[in-house]
Amino acid sequence: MAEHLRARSVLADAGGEVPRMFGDAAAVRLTEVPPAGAIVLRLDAADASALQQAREALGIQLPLTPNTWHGEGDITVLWQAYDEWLALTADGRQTEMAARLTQALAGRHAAVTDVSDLHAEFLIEGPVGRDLLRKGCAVDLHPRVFGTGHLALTALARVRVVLWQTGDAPAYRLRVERSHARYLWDWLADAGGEFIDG
Amino acid sequence: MTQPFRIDSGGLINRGKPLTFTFNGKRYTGCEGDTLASALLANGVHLTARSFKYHRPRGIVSAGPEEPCALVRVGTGARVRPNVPATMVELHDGLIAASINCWPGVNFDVGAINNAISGVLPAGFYYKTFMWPAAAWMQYERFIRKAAGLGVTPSFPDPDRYDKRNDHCDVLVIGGGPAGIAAALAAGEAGARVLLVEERAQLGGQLLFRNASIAGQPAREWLAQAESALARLAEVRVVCRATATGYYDHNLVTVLERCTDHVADPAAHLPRQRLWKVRAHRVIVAAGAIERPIVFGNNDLPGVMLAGAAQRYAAQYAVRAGQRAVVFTNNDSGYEAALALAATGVEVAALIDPRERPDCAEAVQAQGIAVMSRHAVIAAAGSKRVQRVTIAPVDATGSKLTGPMQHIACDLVCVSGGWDPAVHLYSQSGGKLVFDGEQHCFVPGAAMQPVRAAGAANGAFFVEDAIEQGRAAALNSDTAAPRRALALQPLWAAPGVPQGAKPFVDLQSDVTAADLALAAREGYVAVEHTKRYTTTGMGVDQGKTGNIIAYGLLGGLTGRTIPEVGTTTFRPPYTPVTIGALAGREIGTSFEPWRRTPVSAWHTAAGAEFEPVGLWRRPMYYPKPGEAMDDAVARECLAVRNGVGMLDASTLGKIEIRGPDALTLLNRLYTNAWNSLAIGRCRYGLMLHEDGMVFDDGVTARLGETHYLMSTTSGGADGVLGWIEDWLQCEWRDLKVHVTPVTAHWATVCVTGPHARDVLTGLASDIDFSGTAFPHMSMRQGQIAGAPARVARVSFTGELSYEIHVPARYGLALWEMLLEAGAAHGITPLGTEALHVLRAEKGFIVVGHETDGTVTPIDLGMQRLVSMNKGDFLGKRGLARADNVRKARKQLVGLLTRDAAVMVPEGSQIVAMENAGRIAQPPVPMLGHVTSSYRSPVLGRSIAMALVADGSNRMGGEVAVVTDGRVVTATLTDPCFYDRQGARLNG
Repeated sequence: MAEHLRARSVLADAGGEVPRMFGDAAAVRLTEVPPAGAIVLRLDAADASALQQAREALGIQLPLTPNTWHGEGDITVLWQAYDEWLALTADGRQTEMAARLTQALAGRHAAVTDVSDLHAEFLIEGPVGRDLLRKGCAVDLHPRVFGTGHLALTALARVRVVLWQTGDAPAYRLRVERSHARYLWDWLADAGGEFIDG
Repeated sequence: MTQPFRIDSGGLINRGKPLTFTFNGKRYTGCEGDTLASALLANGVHLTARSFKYHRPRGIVSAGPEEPCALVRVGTGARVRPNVPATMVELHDGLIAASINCWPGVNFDVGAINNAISGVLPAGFYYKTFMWPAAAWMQYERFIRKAAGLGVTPSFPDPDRYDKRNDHCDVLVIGGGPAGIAAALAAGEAGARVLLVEERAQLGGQLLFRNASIAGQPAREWLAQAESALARLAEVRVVCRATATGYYDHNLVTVLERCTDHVADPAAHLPRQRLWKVRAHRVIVAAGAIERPIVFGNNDLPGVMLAGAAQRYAAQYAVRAGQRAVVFTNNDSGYEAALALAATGVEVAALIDPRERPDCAEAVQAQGIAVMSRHAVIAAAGSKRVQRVTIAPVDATGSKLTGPMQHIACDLVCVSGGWDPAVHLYSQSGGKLVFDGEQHCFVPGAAMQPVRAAGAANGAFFVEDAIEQGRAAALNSDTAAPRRALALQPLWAAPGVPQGAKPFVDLQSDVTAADLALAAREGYVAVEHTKRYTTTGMGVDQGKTGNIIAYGLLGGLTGRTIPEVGTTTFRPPYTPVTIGALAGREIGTSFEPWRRTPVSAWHTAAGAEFEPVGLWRRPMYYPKPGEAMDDAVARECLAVRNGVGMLDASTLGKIEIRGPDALTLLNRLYTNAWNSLAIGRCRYGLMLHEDGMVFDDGVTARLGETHYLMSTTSGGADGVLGWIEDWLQCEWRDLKVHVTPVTAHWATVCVTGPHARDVLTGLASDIDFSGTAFPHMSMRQGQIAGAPARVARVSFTGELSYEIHVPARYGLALWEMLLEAGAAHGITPLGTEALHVLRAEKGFIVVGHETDGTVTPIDLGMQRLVSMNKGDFLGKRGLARADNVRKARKQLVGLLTRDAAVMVPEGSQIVAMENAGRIAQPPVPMLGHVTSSYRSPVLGRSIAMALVADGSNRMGGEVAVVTDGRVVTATLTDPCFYDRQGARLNG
């Protein structure tokens, strides 16, 4: 019997190429991002000292502007709601991050939950990335209204995602609930088929 | 191959690129740039269709989407498109098309007998004929179904791909004629994000066939310059072959783009069509105008055509729609058409105009065309093509003949009764329509959304006015009234139509002026009633050419003006939308966004049969090769009762609850009291909606001082989370508690059966699984094989059971490890069906089986789970409602059939047993219904659960279960059939 349980990717059984590239010079490239550590932080944003405690525990500031994200080093914090953030860190650091936050916020109206396996994360980058996403997502991703630093809590191909732009190429990351990850991957791979050079 | 009616020069077709196509089995040649209609006309083919009801010969009436007659079938096999207007089919090499609604062919059609017996097929024929006897309706329906519809849909799966696209823009311009182009240019130059959609293959609109000049510049030159100017604007996007089909709230407009319909051999990876959902800050409707005919006898003969269409065929497609034409017009645009026809070599025998002679007559007469003012065409004659028209002088209003008839030989009749702005989308947007009393048409009035109309769609029928309106709409400045109005005297139908010559109002639905008159006589004078009674405007063309005439005639028949008559509702879609485009890629395996557990691939490989539970697809049972479902389920059940089974329970909803008020929250959500729950222990609870009805259940564990883990039903997790957040965010804002959904973070495997503990103790874990250290209804946290784990000892089978949770990435490995660890005990994977049998043996409910939104905990016999003295909880007040405290409500009972081998279907009705195994004469009062029914392998008999009126007082009594026409006798019992003391749980 195996001594340790072996971790599996959500695409372990997806078959085909992983990552997927569509079109010449990767008009759009679709990649599964290796698992990250992820913590849901619930906190009263009106409580300035709690925010400060969280900032010190995380080492970076929580984004307070709705639908934005903020990253420094290997930590990224995604705005989720007026009292909710999703903090991402390198896989393996989540337990320590959760412990630090829990300790810093002890006695406050706050909640820290490890959700590292709740989502899968995909990277979509390349010149036609926007056209791929708009096939199933109703958010306006035009650079005039949505750019690097922005984030959307929306639906892609009918499933809930958090989508954030990480580069002007453009590059987007999205997190989808793990149970929907394979469906969404297959959907994206199918939708991307249009960008294969004839 | 020659195209006898092709003009040698001019037009926008490419003579250097001939295309071969087939129509009704015969090969023809057309040119690149043709539509199927223009190519057929170039080959002298006018008879293209048979009409809907009377199977009369029909030809090409228009040159656009309004086409009422020339509907054809395009393509073959699975790619057949059944009902498309030939006027909108772009020709490509190898195109195959055929007429519809005729058998054996369009030239000789058996259904034409309906024309001979048309006297017995008046308006409302179906309503009058098929009313009685009511019992015969099923017979009638067969006949009606066969007669209904036009083309035949393909019976194969659609092989094409369809796409969707969300788009956003500052300005959406609908229509790429002069107004639309001017609007897109002006908006684009001002820096706006612009989307311009054009229904046809190229921009230009009326500039493609009208001889206009714009500020002294030839129209086509202006068009070429404008197109390159648009192409230079980075934020302007022009999409041709794209029809705006619907206009919805919040300026959402759907656009159907036909990506490859015009291509002979489209690449397989490209979508055939794409449905756009465009959200625009502002919309400019510049969709042009649709010409209306004038009704006269036999106005449906092939060769009777809209004047503007004949003009377009001549100028854009270089096709003569006939050799000798008569133009019949009540407005000045017919004169322009006559000149265009004459310029391409068509002999115009006469121009018939019911008005006094207008100024524009001079130019026409100068071409040698006879202008006959104060005359009307009253009938046409011919068999499959018009051969002559009958004309007569009319009075000043065009309502009476004032002199003798005469005949003019011709093979083409060009008709213009005026122009109707394409107000469809504007009306769909909520915009009001007003009647333009000068040009006699409906035009856009007050807007309800940020939308403007411009150009012909706004009643500005002349090019320079259209351009000015387009620009004004784009810049949001005031729209000037058109400098030129279309001179017109309304004439809906010619007077004095001879007997036997049918005057058609709606060519597609075969509605005549007589049908409208009959409807009005019978009281169907409200326009929506008239529409439905006569079927006017109910074809695939939605009456784009005929409706306005029906309003005009109805007004005349009932003494009302057209604004008083009003219009029928303009509903989406503007033109038909393929179902495939609506479905997009949400078909096949993507039909639903199915959810998978970390173990799903293993289940599939193991040959499991799946069932949907919410969006999850859960293994229902795992048949061995050749094993029937019943046998597989029985095997899985017995493995759990006698050895050990394992179930993928990852779908179980899981919600983390944290905060000092967590306990208060639980007390308010659940019906029972939670104060005494110790850390590390679990408790089962029921949730009610405000009405007191059960909507979810599950086990919640206390993990810490202020930390709980709630589980919900697999299908109910999202609903429960929403329910809790709703209360926390809206009503209980004072509660200091947070809830976080974590369902998919955990993979869950349930190990159940007498040997469950033996399996778990074989794992490398720091958790003590012994009965004393880890009692029933408790949860432990620790590690299993190096992974963090939570293990709950809870049971839904009545056996010793553990639910093991590990982070999802380890789910498959845990499953595989348990299979290995349990091999010595014969561990058996079980599906949801076996789980349901096992829980039913124990009398445990499943929300959605035993409950349906009308069942209280008391109905379920779970009074002990309702604490009326713990304080308020959701549903408490509801439980006190008079109907909920009523005696003899339906209550949960067990049901044992007298014959143990008989299984009653779920949903079967339960009625009282009168005497000697008989039931009363109908109507028999219903006592209840069967909620769950299974074969119990361990009991060796059928068991069932049921909701039965006054069930708790009927225990031990017999009822009748009526099923599939049989009456089954059954005894009411306690719903727990197995191990009532629960001894097996505490091993």
